[in-house]
Amino acid sequence: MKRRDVLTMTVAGAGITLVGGWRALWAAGRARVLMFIPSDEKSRTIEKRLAGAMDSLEVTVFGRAKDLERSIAQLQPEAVVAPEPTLRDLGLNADLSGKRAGSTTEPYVLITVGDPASPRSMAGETVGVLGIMGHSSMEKHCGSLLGTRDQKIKTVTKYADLLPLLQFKVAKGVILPQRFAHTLTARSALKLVENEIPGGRVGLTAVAIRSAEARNIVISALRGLDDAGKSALGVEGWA
Amino acid sequence: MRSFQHAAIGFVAVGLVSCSKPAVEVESAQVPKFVDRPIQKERAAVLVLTPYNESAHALWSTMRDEVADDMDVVTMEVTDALSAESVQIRIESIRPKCVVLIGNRAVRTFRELQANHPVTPPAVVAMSSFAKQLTGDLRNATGVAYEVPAVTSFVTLRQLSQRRVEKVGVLYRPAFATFVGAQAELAEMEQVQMVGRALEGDIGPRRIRLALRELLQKENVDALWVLNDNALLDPENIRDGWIPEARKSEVPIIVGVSSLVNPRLSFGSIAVVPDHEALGVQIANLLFELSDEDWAVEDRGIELPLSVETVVDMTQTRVMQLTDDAPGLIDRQVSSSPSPLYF
Repeated sequence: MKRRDVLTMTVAGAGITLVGGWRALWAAGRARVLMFIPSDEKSRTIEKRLAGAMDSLEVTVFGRAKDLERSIAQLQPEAVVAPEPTLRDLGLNADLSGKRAGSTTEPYVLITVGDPASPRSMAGETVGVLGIMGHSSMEKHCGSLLGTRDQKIKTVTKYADLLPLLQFKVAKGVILPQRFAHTLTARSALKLVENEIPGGRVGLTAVAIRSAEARNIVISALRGLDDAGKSALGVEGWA
Repeated sequence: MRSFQHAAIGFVAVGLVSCSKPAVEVESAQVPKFVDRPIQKERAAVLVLTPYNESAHALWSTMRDEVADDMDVVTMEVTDALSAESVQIRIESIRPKCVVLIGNRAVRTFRELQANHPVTPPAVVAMSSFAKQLTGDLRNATGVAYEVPAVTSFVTLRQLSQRRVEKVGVLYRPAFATFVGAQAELAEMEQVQMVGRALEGDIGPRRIRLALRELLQKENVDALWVLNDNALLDPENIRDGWIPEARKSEVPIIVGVSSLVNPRLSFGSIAVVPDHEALGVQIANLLFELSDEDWAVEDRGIELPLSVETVVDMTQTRVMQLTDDAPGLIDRQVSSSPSPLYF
């Protein structure tokens, strides 16, 4: 059983005890931070790296947006770290935004097999994407990114799982951050074409602080992260 | 050591039998109960028939979360007491738009129901071995296959290992020829050539050893892919056929059951197995698509599973030649003998 299942199960079975325990954690000066970091790395690997670098935070990393959503409701953490569109979809404001190459957004690309394709040509087709929000929000998000309005999508939980969508011809194309494109192209012998999405930029990892008391602790811990820690969050620095 | 090996192989065999059912149908005190959320009557309802085990729960829980904003999930646990008629009574009371069948037993129950009721909701099959054949007997059904495609295993190995993966050997019985042929076709697109040796009639350890030697020494394969076939992997064949050759093997051995990755057996180098949580997302995607098409299944086939988990024998580093990134990508690293609970 995965660690997150155990956490969820424990919450369901003995919510009061756990929430009480978490409150005690906060009382001891360690802010509770829930994170959703889309990646091919295991959540526990990211969690280990971050926990080791931020003693003042109690970090839990999830691999699925829905796990984050459920856990926010159950655990009421002091802060939430997730891609900016995920925070927005959950009704949270970004108090701190990640930065890469001087920007708080990053370019996405459309990968197709064989021939180049324009993003708009995906209208009416199915496109694969890593789910960072609920299904209908993702459809709108992808439609807006590709300029196709409501886009038919299939979501996955790891970038690596986008490749089988192309191999098995389940999706006409897949979209992902440009920095992850090599995870597909490097390990496949398919003729994969990386198509630019004009203006297709998506918000990087951002931080929503839900407790004024925890604000300084959380921000200073995140700002103090070393390069490996920032890289685990998909950022180079903070805006 | 020898007695441990005997016990371990026995457990492996039990695991395989369970796998062919296909889920590890072992109840665990740690597995939470299925608890449905309150129904909102104006929304589409989905009835789920599921066994009570860890894998099924992982799938069910993820699927329920994914569709929670749009659909109501009503769950019926598959037990000895569950009959086709009790399912029909539930269908009449909640009028689901679709029925999700998790495991072979749920499929059998629903097939029985269809035999007596000409009109039933569409069905989505999951965690059912050879779902393609099974759904052939079902009307109005689609789903996701349970067997991990060979190409997925090969690409996964490529991602974790620095080794060349271009030619992969496989032993199979003639009954599996069509399945292996389909896998070879899929593997070709990733420029992996599958080299098979069909074993007809009685299969014993000696024939397995000889066939493996042919693949390893004459064909010089880059890896071996082991089919989840109870006959090929019975305890005697594992102990006296596979293991002696595996110990001499210089190439990774890819298996489809995590219990075969055990440093004290020195058999599987890597297990590539279904990711049940991701399978839940894939089933949820299917439900969304069916919902968009007014719940018409039409000529949808059976999808192949998209996501896998990996279990790697970390004592086989020389054979595996892992990349620097691999440890962060492996789901379970095994470096000492796991407890028998894993079998």
